[in-house]
Amino acid sequence: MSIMTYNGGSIVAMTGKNCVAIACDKRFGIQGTALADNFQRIFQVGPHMFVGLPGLGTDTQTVYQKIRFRQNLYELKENRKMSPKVLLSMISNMLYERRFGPYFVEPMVVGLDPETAQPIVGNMDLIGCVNIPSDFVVGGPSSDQLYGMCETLWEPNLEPDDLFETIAQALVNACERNAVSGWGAVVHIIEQDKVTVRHVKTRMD
Amino acid sequence: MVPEHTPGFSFDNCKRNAFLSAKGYKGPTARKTGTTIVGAIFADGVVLGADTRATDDTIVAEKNCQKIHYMAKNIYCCGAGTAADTQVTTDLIASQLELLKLNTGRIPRVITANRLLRQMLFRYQGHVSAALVLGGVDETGSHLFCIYPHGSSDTVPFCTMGSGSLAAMSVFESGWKPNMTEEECKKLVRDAIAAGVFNDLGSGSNIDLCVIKKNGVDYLRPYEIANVKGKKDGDYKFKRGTTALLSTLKVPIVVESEQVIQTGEMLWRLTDELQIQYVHLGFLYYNYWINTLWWGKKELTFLSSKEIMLFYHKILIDFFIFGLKTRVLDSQYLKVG
Repeated sequence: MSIMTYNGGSIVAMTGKNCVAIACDKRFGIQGTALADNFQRIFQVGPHMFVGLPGLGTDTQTVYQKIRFRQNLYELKENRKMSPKVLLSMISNMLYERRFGPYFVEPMVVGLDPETAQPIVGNMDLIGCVNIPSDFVVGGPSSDQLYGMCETLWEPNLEPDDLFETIAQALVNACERNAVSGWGAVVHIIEQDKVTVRHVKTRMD
Repeated sequence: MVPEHTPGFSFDNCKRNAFLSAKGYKGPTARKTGTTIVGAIFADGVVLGADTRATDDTIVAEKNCQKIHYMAKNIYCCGAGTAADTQVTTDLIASQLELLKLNTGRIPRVITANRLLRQMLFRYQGHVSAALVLGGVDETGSHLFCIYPHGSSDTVPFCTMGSGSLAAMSVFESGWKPNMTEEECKKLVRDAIAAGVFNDLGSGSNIDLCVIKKNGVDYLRPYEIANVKGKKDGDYKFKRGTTALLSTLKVPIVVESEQVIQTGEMLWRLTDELQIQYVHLGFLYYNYWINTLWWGKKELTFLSSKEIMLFYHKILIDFFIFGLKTRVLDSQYLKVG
């Protein structure tokens, strides 16, 4: 068993028309034993910016705290908000520093650019190789299933409501075929004027 | 930034990761480029080429990744191997070259980039697994280098790297000749990358080219979209409301502070609004006086209707003059703006 499937928890993020979405299941377990159905893997790090940290639970939390530390220092020092691309490159540098003893997380960042409101999704591998595609990113133990779902369901210029259905169905159906993911899911839809957080029903086995 | 510890790599997690590994919990693999990258020299410069696929084992992790990295205005570098290593190594040396350029006031040479990359890779004894094709043009001519992860390099007129290097080299070996024209060379490089894309599973998607000549660089991304995704016949969109919900929370974006800096044009629009407000105000006064006139006629006998009308006229004229003044001011602002 890989360490990435030890605690479970898959994340997917997609771009839409003037909006982005990030969704995650809520299971936390130790291998087959489920321990909690309210584990947080998606964190808000700005009015229009979220970071998702799939991987080993302990590293999810450690890396999140390190991100907040560096982001706070940046925002105090520069007196401006961090943009998603800056955040991606900051996390990338942080992870590459541990090239030979990495944290077991594959972070992803979603957000709207503070200047242009352009939707951005990006992710990286555990040593910080950044990838900023125009469509979607996936991570966690059911990433193989999510790749398949997203490749079929995603289309360009989805409206926020359609984007929600697309991302939620992609995640829910990917969790159907992954033993260590599921136990409820949460979907964040980020638009310019609001963020909508929806808790989605999934199977509980 | 406050330094968390000394610069350089951190080995904090190594012991823990080795322990987990010994227990049978393997860490995930880093993303590989699994690449075909090539370079070839022609009469006036160098052509670099690359595919755009990145892989996680057998999964295509990225369909359009950039493998031809910027080093300096006259030098570019293709990277194969562990994707993060190629990205970071080229970025690091690119910044050193920029500093060198600023310190010396000269255009950096390709041999300098080659030496810096080799020393960096040799220092890490092959653990930083970047296989590079470095190409560029400087005052000494066109140069092409093939750099291996352990820090050795070849100086060659054409070279290939990555998992598709054998397929690409077969094209070069049969087709390359000295002093080709730019178009001939681009075609040859395109064919070499295409051979990798279609015969090596680690390579795929598009073909990127970078033509470096003495008078400038043509970065062609994509040069050719070798694999176009098919169009869906059906519509697989879910109807709104399909997904079962447990709860919904709408969080409006709270604006903590807002500062509007007016330009000439904006002022124009704002004063328009102000003027409308003044007209409303005048209208309210008018209503007030009419009302008192009609309903309070008996109580207001000490004011004749003539006096009231005079007062109303005065107010109206005041507002008219004020409106006129702002109009004049606006036109002055507009001229400035």
